[in-house]
Amino acid sequence: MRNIYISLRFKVIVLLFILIASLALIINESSTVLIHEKTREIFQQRLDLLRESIKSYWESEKNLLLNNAMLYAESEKLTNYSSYGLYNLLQKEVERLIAKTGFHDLKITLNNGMTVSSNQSLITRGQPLDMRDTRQNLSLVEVQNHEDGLYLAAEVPLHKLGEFIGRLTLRRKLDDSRMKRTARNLQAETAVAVKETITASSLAESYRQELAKEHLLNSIRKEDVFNIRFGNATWSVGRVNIAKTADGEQVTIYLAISQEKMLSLVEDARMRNLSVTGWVLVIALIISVVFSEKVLLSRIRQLRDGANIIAGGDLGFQITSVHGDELGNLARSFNRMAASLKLNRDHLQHYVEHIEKLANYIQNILGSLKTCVITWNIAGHIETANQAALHEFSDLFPTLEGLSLKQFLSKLPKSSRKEIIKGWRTVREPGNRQFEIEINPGSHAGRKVLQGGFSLLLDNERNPYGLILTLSNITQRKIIEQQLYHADKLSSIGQLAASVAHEIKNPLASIKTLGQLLQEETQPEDSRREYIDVIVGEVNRLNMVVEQLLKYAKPEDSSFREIAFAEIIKPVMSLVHHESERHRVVLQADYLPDLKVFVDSEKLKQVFLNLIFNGIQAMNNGGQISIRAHKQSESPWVTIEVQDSGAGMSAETVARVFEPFFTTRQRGTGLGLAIVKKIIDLHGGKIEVSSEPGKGTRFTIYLPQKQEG
Amino acid sequence: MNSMSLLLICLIIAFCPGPLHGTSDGSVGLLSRIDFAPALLEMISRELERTTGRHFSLIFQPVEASGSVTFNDSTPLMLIEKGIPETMLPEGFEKTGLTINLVWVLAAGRDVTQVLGSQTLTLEKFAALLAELRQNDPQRFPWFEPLLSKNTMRNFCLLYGEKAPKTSTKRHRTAMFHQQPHAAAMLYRAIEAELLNPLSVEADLGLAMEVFAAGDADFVSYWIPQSYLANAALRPAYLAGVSFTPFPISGNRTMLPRMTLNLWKSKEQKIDAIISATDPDQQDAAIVELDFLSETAWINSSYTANYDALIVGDL
Repeated sequence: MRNIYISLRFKVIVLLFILIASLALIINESSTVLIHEKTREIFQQRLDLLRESIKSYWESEKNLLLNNAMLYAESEKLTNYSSYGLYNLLQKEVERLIAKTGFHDLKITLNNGMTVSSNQSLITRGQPLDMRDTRQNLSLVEVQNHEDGLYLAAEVPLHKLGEFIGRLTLRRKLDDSRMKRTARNLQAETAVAVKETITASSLAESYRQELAKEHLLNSIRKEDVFNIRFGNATWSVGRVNIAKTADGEQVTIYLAISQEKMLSLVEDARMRNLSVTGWVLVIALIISVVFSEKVLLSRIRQLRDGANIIAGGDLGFQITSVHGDELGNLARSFNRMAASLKLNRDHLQHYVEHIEKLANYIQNILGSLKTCVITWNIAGHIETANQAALHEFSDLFPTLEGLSLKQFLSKLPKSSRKEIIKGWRTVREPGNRQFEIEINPGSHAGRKVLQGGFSLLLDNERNPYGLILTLSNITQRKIIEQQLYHADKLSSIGQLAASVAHEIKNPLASIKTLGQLLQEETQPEDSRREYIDVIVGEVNRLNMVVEQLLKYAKPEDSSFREIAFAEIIKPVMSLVHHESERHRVVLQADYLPDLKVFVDSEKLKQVFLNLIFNGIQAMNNGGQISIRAHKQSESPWVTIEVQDSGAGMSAETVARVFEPFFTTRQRGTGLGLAIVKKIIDLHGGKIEVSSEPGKGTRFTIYLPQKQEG
Repeated sequence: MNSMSLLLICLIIAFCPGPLHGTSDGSVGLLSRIDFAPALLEMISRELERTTGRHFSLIFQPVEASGSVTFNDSTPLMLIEKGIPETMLPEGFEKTGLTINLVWVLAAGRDVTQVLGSQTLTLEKFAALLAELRQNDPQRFPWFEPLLSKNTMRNFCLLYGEKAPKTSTKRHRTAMFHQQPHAAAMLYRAIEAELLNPLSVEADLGLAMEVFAAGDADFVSYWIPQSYLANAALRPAYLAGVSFTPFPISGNRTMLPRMTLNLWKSKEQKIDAIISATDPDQQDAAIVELDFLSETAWINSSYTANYDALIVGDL
């Protein structure tokens, strides 16, 4: 299953959020239920309180009515007007008094039967009051049920200077408007019922009818608190029998509270709770983010960064902020780990440095050796090869490591392969068998001669681990040995030739002198003159041969210096320019401009003159002579090739070409190439020739480079 | 009703829009000892408008019983009761020549006016009429007077005599009210006979006018512009059907107390088209010109005794 990366921060935030959200929702639900129950309880209490309140309200209404009636009864104007027959004025006064008070009417009934009422424009005259009725002096409040409605009436005696002059009645009509006012005061719909009729109500007409039905039913059930449906809403209704009318009829007040309001309050509370919960969640989320960032993630990030720093190699890193908790313990462990790693690394580094020094030391030894050291493992593959081995075999193998014996032998000459295999097979035999092998690095380098042998490579337990092949380059030694051999041979010939030349030089001088005398004595038109000229000419040629022979044999001083190859070859090319053109031979030189050679320049010019003239003379029908000079980077030689497109030479001619006086030309001295060979030998170099009849001839010169120091 | 209340009422009338005036052309101070009721002030305003052709708001400045006056000289025009010494008047004012006469008459209600017809009301007829009215309706008193008003008391004393030692005899103790020797006795007897409303002794001019307007009394004394006597068309609508007659006194005579208000103006004020109104004389009534100084002097010296006599019946 593929692991999905979810950041720790996200997990922490989600976890905290879920925890807090769950807690908040539980609290929210609990509080909502609590609010609901509490609201219902409060609602019930409120209904009970309302039932009590309406009684107080009713009493206060009665008291208010009575107090107002008594205040009116104390009005001087009313008593004066009543006493002094100013009934019209009295009428106006009661109307004025009652205006805008909310009372229904104010009526004054005088002893004499005159009645003045605020809602009657006519002053009526009735029966005089019965003064014997002691109740005339009493104040009372009663409910009057008339056809036009229900009234609360306060009746008080009216006195003028202590004398009873009549009764004052102040009435308030318990009508819809009064019920609405009461409803506003009590914050509950109210209705008043007498007998089977709802006489007034603050309720809408449809609701009033519903209540009237319930009132009728309830007159049997006698429930003080009940529910009723008004429209789609449920209302709680409380009933209070508040009073009885003057006729003894029961007056009932109904108080109705819509549960919708309660439910709405609960819903509001719930929404508020949800809102608060929402805010709590938002705050919790922010706190979670901050907490995870400040308390957890920043410190984890510190650990991560620390690990990265340590992974980057800085083992000295230590976490500075270490708190007293689990992450703090982790940080301490981290610091201990880093310190331990640093200590171990320091030790390891010390060992490694020591080993590296040792390895370098061994490597330097091997690298410094001029002897090739090649090790084979037990499986027959080259395991190591030192610098000298890589150098010596660089022309054959780009690398030696990993080569099998077969691969190694494949590029060696057959004789060398045999020598190596023989050495391989006899490695375990006592005595160290030495052998020589010859390798041919390539066309531009001379053959190398290496001498060495195999040794067993043993491990710590002295068990065979592999083989060691050591080879030393003895090429130079071989060349010197050959040169010594040739020098010795040529030296004998030269000395012999020089002695011969001295012997014939004097007679030749005599012959030439005499020949020249004869020329002087002989007229040009003399027929003998031609023979004399031939004699003198041949004597001159013989003198030249003798001079060359003496020159060849004469040990000359050399002046070696480092010089650009161009400074040697350009004068030579200019010198032979006319001769080559005369023989229709194209000269072509190819060399690096900065190629330098350490030579005796005058002698080397003689080498190239001899080789080029030799080439020109080899081409009767024209041709091309190419001169190429180059140096391989690791080679100790500068290689110069002079190649012509002439007739070529047979193998026998090639073998003798550098011998003095060996010539294939009729008028050659046979000393040109011998002098070339001598000059090259003088430089410590070597010259090789390769030629085939019809394919031209190529001379290859190897000149040693200047040895530093 | 005290003077400050009156001032307040006047201000309310002056500044409240209503039938009293349209657009006001300014205000006129009214300086008098009479405690004018609102209805009377309205009559004066109407009369002033009729005579000047312009509508003014009246600002009543009552004269205290002590005779001192507090002038509100911000009004460039002032109606000043005749007889007030010029030394008491503000400087820089001069008479315009316009006068308004107010007469103190007996007002009869509409029902009574119909009964009376055009016959002249004598004191005996007045008494008989009162008795008849009382008899017809024993629950009400036919006559009402603002006897708490000092000027009313003064006027009654002026018409029917004031209390003096030895003015009442044994004969008078059984005589009817109109046969009494002085005003206090007459009024007392009228109250005793339940002809005059007993509340009269506690009533001021305003209450009296209210009682009369409400129809709770058939007779009441009334200050009106003299022009109303001759020309009923000048009266306000609410007085329609009400008749005004000079007070009957003994000897089948009638008497008409009259007070004159002169219009003064500041010398910088210019008033055009002042109509010089001349009220026709009331031939059958003896006009008594009321004098500010003598009236004030009487009130200060004799009112209390006469009023006390009225209250306690010390006849």
